[in-house]
Amino acid sequence: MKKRKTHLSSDYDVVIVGGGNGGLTAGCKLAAKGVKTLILEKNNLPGGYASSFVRGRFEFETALHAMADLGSPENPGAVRKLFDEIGIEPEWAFLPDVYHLVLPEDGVDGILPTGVDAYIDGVDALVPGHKKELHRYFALCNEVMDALNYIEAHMDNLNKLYLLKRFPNFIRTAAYTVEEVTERCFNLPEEVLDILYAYWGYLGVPTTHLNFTIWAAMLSMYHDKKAYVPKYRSHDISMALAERYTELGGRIELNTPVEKILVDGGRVTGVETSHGDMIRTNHVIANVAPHAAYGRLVHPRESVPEIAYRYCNSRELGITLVSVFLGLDISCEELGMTDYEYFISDTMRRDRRYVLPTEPTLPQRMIVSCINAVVPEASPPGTCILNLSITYEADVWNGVKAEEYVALKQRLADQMIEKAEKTLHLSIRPHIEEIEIATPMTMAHYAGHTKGAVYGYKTTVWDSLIPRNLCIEEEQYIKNLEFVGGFSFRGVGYCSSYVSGSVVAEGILKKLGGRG
Amino acid sequence: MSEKIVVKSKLGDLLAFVGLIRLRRKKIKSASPERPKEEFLNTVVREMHPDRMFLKISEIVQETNSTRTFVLVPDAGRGTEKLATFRAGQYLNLRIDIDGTEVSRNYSLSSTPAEAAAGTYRITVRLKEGGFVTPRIFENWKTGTTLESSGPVGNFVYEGLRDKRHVIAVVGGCGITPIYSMVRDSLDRKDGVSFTVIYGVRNSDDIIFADSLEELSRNGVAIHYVASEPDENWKGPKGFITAGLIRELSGGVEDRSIFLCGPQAMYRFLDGEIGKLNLPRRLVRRELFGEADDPAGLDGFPAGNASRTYTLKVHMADEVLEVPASGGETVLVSLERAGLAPPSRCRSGECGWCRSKLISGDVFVRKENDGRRIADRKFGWFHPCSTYPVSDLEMRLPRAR
Repeated sequence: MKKRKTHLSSDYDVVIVGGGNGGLTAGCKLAAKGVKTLILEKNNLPGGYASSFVRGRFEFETALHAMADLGSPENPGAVRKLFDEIGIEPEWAFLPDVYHLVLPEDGVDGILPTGVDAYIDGVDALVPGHKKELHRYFALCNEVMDALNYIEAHMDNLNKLYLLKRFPNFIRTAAYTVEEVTERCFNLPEEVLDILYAYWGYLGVPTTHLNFTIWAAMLSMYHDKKAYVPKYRSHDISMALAERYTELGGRIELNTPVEKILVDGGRVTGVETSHGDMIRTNHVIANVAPHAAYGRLVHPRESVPEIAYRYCNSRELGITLVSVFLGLDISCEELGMTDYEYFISDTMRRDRRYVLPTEPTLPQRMIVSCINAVVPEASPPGTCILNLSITYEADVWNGVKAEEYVALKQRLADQMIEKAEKTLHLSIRPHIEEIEIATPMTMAHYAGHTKGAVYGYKTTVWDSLIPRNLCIEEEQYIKNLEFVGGFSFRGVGYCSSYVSGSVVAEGILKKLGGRG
Repeated sequence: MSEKIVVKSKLGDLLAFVGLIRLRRKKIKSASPERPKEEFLNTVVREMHPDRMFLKISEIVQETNSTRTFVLVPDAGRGTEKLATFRAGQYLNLRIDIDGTEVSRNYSLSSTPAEAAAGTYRITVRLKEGGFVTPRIFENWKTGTTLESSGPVGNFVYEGLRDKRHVIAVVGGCGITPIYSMVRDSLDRKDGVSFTVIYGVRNSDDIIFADSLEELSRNGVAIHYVASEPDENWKGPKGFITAGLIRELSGGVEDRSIFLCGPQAMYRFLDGEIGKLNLPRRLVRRELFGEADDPAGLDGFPAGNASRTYTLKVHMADEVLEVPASGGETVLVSLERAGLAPPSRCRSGECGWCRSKLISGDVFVRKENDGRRIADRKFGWFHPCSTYPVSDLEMRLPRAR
């Protein structure tokens, strides 16, 4: 049958493989300087995980729980500065609390607000008597954050001696885990650690292995810049970026998976898409994981050096998750969801804190959130949106067969609902109007990551911010193939992905000779 | 922070920092040199959600005068080794050649997931006299004909966490197909869900799967036929399916979910009847509406628009094409007629697969099936399958993946 085949016929200065947070940001920065840029996105909408989907009268958020490093107009964080620079203005709702922590076996049930003083007061209300030590702790976290900001601002002519003098504790703690630093240098009782470590969920690596630097930066960000959610789900941010990018002269092509990143003589020469487009370019920004780029996309295969495979295999894939999306025909007030987000865990006591399931069974820890608590109009009057999420190590689902899949996810969702009802004293079941269950399979289907991993590579000590950043150049195994997004040098998270796109774009602008 | 922290030792902390890079290099160098291969999970996902499947007709069953079941098997020659699993109630979006133009149509799988695991799908198609697509299907599809399809998709499925343990399925005509799959799947899986099927037909010759339904009914599935044009010896209820009849045949609607599937005329009538039952929305599920068969009759449709013609200026990849459009057809149909093979799935405004950018021009969107995301509305993206041109349009259309 006749089909009118259409092609992408131009060449580009830069081709971006994947229109996720990192790719879109890089695209905006490059297009703004007149660089001829093409984003190729395999899905039919931009944003990657930063998206939304509609069922009936509900529009569900796909990924974001709390946007870090946005800040207020008066105290802007990196994300706000970046969005101001790019020229987009999504609407935000402020989150007064980081989370409401419920640990039934530990007898903990309390709100942990954002802001250092308020947070410490919140901890004090649960475990009195440790304010001073907590202030010391946050002072250290802030120093780490300040050091990272200093490094970022002085990338070109970094004065290492000044760094050591001005931010000695940043250097001294960078090679350790969260627990090594926290427990060797601070006198905090187990009961306080139980509360503090509940944050680990945001980075997906247990505090026994998580590097202190990235942890400290996250704590500092959440308390200095507070936290927000987009009013119209993440899709609004992704669309704002994509539209701005187009306005600035960039091209984005949806439904266009890249099948090959063409390499010749050790450097990028172009890409080939599933539609048969052959596009020449000297720069590729990969908003995909190195696993995908080196394992599948770079062509010919012989142009991938062995060290690139070793690089992939050395790294630990971060966690993946199961999310139950519920559209309920009851308001959040009637339901009893007074706060936006609840972190629940049977216990955070040391011996069972990180007992994680090795089979796809119900873990002890779950996040329950209701966007209507902070965005009342997120769904029609008399309804609300509830999200239940649990996490798994990436290997756990890597054995589930197609024929057992649906029953498995339904059983888990059933248990998750039961746990939320019991722990938070809610009546969810009689009000379910829409339900969707996303699993590691869903994640793998949508974004294509190995084993459905959604949290990038684990930020353990040797693979955290500092070593990743210091080794960027020597780890560029193919010339002019650079990585952005959750699997890149910044680690996982919206703000990290946006910033990764910005940093890589600036590097390319320099290489292109300070155009514009 | 004014004090200096010591984690392990004054010198040790600094050496550890300096050693980070060496540690990293060592970790990388000592890792496996094998190329990262596709993992089991990713293979399962690829097989569960293929972008497209190639199928071959292995058998054709004449169900009624106007209905045929096509038995489909994977077409290994074109690269489909096995059939994707599905959930009873889901459909295939088939790419169909009409006089050299590719259109897509959705057909619910009438077979069960167990049958798919054993290597066959079945779809059941009713001939619509004078229709655009089904007469060609009946004329051209023979045993051995090869077809291109999406993977199984759709949200019209029984969901135990949401739906009641007793389902009243109100169906008309070919709308029996997904329910037929659901009922048998439920029996296969012994999940204990009970079904009352209220099946609107013209007359006794119009009953699809008659023998098999008879057997299901002997096995405890309550099946009631309602004839709109009953034959002389018809014993069951006659006329339309009303709220009163639903109540009567199902023994009350309390603690039951209602599933609706049928032609548009049935939905239009049933909307009012279901309304009389005063049920919360969560208890009423309906299969996709499809493209409106009478757009001029849609609430708010601009008078006279159906007979107007417009020009669509379509940006696709690096080309700009001008194609004619009728005000009485969805933008999607006009794009298909022009041979652009646009992406599409639900053809009902809901799934967003055909999502495109409206650059300029005015459109009418069918409100009942406006499944656009908030930000898509804000930034001028639309779903061509539920949208009618009301002026010349300029748009950007992504190519089908």
